[in-house]
Amino acid sequence: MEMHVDEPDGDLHRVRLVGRMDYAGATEIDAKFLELAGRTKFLLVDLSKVNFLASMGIRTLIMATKALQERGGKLFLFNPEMMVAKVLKVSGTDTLIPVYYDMSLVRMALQSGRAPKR
Amino acid sequence: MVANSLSELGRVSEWVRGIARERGLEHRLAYGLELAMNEALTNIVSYAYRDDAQHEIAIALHAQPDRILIEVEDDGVPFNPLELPAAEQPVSLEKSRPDGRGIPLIRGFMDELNYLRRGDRNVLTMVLHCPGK
Repeated sequence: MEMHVDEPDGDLHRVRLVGRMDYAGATEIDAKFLELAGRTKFLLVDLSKVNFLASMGIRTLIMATKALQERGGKLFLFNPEMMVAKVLKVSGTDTLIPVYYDMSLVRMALQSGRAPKR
Repeated sequence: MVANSLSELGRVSEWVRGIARERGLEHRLAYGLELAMNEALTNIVSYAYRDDAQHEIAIALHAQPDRILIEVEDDGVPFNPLELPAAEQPVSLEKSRPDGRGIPLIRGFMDELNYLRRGDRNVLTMVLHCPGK
């Protein structure tokens, strides 16, 4: 599995994952991915080039999301292909980590995430 | 036969994909087949054994005209995944566990699941309904 970190867009960091997010793929990126989650506040994970997601991959995503949330941040999953989206739904992961297909909605969610809580 | 090691998953996945290709399965069915095998093996390797010994897990795949059966047999602790309650949707990220999604995924992608304890072995059969070739 490959992990490509794009230039940040303000405080939104974007990482593109490519390939299989199974045991081998998750193991390959685990440390780097969690390190990235540990130093960013808002992280968009582009799944459009992930062609397989299994529970080990979900584990990595959830751990990263928890790490971000503990520091007041958020993780967004972006544009999963159909079967990956089904895995996220069947496993209930989409109720824990928001999934978006439209960047404008990500930006809106980001705005409300940045807004101070009253 | 595969060893009780997560490093075997890649080899098994490739094997399942090859069978799906030969059968001409459409993508969503091939995906489900591979995922179910992946999750069944992950569960066994992760939870079935209380020792550090090497064990063997027997896997078989039977292609029938309108279905494909996967049979996974292990000598781990008795465990019937069908007795697990249907997974509840997690209430919050804080309360959710990073793992534990294997059985719900198998249930979500396969059409039938059967379990039996045969001597000292767990035998899990997963069935995918698919159109004939």
